[in-house]
Formats: sequence, C-alpha cells, structure tokens
Amino acid sequence: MSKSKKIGAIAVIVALCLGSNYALSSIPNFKVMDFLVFVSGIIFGSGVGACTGMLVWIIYGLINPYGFVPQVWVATMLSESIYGLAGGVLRRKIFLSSSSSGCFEINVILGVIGFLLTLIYDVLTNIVYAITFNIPIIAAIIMGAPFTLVHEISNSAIFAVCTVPLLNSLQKYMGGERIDVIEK
Amino acid sequence: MMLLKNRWALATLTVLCWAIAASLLSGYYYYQYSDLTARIGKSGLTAAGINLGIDYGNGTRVWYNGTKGITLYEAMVNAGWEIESQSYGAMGLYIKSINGVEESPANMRYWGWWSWTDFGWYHGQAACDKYVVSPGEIILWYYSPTDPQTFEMSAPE
Repeated sequence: MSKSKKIGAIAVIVALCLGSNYALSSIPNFKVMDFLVFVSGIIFGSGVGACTGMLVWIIYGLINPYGFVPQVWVATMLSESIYGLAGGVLRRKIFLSSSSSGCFEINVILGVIGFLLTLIYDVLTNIVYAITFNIPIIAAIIMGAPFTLVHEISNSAIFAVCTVPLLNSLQKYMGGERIDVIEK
Repeated sequence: MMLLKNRWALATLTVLCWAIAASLLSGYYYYQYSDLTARIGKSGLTAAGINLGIDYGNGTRVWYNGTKGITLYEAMVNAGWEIESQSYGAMGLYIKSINGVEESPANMRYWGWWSWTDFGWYHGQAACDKYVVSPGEIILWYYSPTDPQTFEMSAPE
C-alpha cells in the first residue's frame, strides 16, 4: 500500500473512532474505538496502531463530554496505544501462523485478548485517576469494577465477533489490495 | 501459534478471564456490603435521624436537624423539600431542582450532596435514593459551582 493511501486509511480509522465515540458517549464504557485501534495495529503494524490510538485520544480527550483532566488524558492516550501495539504483535502470532486453526479458536483467543488488553487499560487508567484525585488505588479499582467489567465484557465480545469479518472485508475491498493478514 | 491448537489452553484462558471478572465483582460487592452493614448496623434499617442541610450557593444555608429517613432521598422528602428529579433506573435519581432552584448548565451550577467527615466535606458517591444514611450523619445539599472543563464540583465552605 502506498504511503499516501496508508495515511488516508489511518485518518479514516481515527475519524471512525471519534465518530463512534461521540455517538456512544451516553453509554458509559461501551466503545468500538478499542477494537478499531486493535484492527489498525493488525493491518498497519504496531507503530501505526499505537499512533492511531494516541491520535484518537489527543482529540477525544481534549473535547470530551465527561470533562478534561490532563493526567487522565495522558494516561488514556498512552494506554489506548496498547491495543494498537498488541494488534501489530499478534498479527504474526495469530493470523499469519494460524492457517490450520479454525475460526472458532481464533474468535476465542481474540475475545480473551480483548478482555486482557481492556483489563490492562482499565487498571492503568484507574491507577492514574486514583493518584490524581488522591484516592486509595485498591478502592478506585474495586469501586470502578462494574464500569470496568462492562468495558471488558463488551470489548471481549466485539473483538471475538467482529475482528475476523472486518479483516476479511478490508482484505477484499481496501483499494483492491490484499492486506495478507488472513490466509484463505 | 501453539495456543490455538490446544483447546485446553484456550479453555484455561477463558476461565482466567471469568475468574478475574468474578473476583472484581465479588470485591465490589464485599466492599458495598461492608459499607452498608457498617452504616445501618447502628440503626438496624430503621429511619435514622440525620442533620440535613441545604446551601443555595448565595449565602443561604438552612439546616433540618433530626430529619428521619432510611435513604437520603427519603430524608429530603420528610424535610418537606420540593424536589424535581430524573430517574436513571438502577443508577438512581438525578436531582435537577430543590425548592424551586433549578440546576443551571449556562452558569455551571448543579446540585450535589456532601457528607461531613473528619477531613472536611466529602462528595457523595451515590444517587440520593440509593444512599442509606447512618444516624447522626451530617449531609449538605450544595448548589455547587462546577468547573466547565473537568465537571468537578466545588466543595461547600
């Protein structure tokens, strides 16, 4: 894929993340942004994936319906990049080496990855939130558990159900070029 | 990736996720249970008398000492306040107006309740109809100036 096409695709993913975030802002902790950042990591690699995550939070963090707190903003920006990084790393480990594995196994592992990545994201951002507002870290994690779980379970479901179909579609239609992620 | 070919490993990972979720949830409910039993232990889930106050943010502060109620909302009703609220289901009631004084998004003024502790005023962490009061608790409803950037409410003086 050419450089300009790549930049265009990244801009579209960032716009999609922002649009979906604002559209879903009334549902706390249910977002498709994490999934899109993860997929951008799978398609374009860790570096671009991580930058996409950070780019989304630079804008969404500044113009946020829930307010702006600089420390939490930086934490979410860095934590979001984990999804992109993981997407790039797991691209080779899961997709490029799993031609003999069934779709069910891939979906299960993607669900688990979605859950664990979200757990890391939530723990990191909760720690920064606790330090910023001078709240005991354990209390912040425990009191945030219902919101954390909604985030983790919804992400787990989205990662498991949507990743393979989206990658298949992108492979078929993105400029007519193969992304070479899923081998048919 | 070997993991994908081993169904037991996949099952173990799934159970690990379930265990983390269950642990978080049980920790949350244990904390809630401990907090609730500590507060209602003194009154045994009967209407507790609290010192309920209202601060209109213009220098007027009125106290209703000895107001009874199981929840904070019940105490507010028993104090004879005119309350306008919006229900958010399981999350509870959101108070929009007290005694004719409505929240003002234009002036960034919202109603919030604060509990008096040894360290000063502590912002209430639950909807008023979900909060079980303990005997002698000092609770103040404050027409709080709110930061437009962080949505953080200023504490009463």
